[in-house]
Amino acid sequence: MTLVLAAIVHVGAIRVYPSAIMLAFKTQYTSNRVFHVPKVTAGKLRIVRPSPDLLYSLAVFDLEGGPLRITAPVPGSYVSLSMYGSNTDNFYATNDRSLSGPEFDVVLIGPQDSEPDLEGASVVRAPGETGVIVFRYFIGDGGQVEKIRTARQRIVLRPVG
Amino acid sequence: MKHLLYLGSAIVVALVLGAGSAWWVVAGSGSEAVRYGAWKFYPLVGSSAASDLLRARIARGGLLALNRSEAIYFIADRDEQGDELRRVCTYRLEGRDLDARWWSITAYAEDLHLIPNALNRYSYNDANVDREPDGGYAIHLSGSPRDGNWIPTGGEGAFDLALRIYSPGPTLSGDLDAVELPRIIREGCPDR
Repeated sequence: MTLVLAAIVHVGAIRVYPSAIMLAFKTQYTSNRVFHVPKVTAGKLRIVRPSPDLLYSLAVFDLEGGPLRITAPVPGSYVSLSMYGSNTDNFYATNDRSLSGPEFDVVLIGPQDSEPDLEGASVVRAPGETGVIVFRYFIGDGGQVEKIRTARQRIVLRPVG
Repeated sequence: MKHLLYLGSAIVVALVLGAGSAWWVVAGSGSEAVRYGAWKFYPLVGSSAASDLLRARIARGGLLALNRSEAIYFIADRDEQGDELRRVCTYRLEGRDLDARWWSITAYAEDLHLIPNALNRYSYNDANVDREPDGGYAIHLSGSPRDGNWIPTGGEGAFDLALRIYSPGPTLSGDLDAVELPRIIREGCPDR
């Protein structure tokens, strides 16, 4: 009986671990608000293996109140917009070179939401009501940092409606 | 009473055994990794096709990793001889640009955080690395300062390297056997 129970615990722990880590991460941030992470240096950060070659801006999304619209200008260097479900899956990723317009313009909807018709915006359906949005800005040789800082201050995350 | 004690002990042992073995497996590298010389690659990182075990490994060692369409990650915890990367040793990375919009190489300590140093130098990318005349690059990893590209890695314990490749091009979207990844050459260790 002990070995059977141990096997169940083993499988269950592996299955639950990603969601538990994501939950612990999400609870550190207010939902539907953008946070701009300073340039990473050594020390205990909220996330392991950070890249010192990127500036990160992130938001925990919660779609219980309805869809969210995300707009952000591009600074002229690499920037990507990615989204993660509660199980850590990266369900959406795009970058500045894939844009059809001058800026990121995405409407994030929940699994049961109907698709809104918003001109110019791409619609992305999340697999669940909550998750994480990440912007990554490439620092390169450092010459673009001020431009990047200005651009990411203009990220807007707001309810649709 | 005796039965209850037995049952309680069995449950505690099962919990410790189950959770401990789960952590041991999650902390390992496992069969999802494909090896290319010194480098390991996990094709299903970030994908909805990832197994529970791979998701757990990513949650532990690389939360919020991008899927393969946007970025490819290689991890090396061994040199090209197959020996563990150790902070007391010195290494030289030799590489060339890859078919991608940009790349970076970063060193991490055993705790998966950046290695503290006075220069706050933890990585190089394709825009800030000094080049050799042929366009390639060499990066030194050591405790004592080196001319040229140098990431301070001195200290105790092991470390590893992450090679990040963003907006990968066609040669990185299929079979990676032909991709020329950076060489990790051990130059010396105090005990060898």
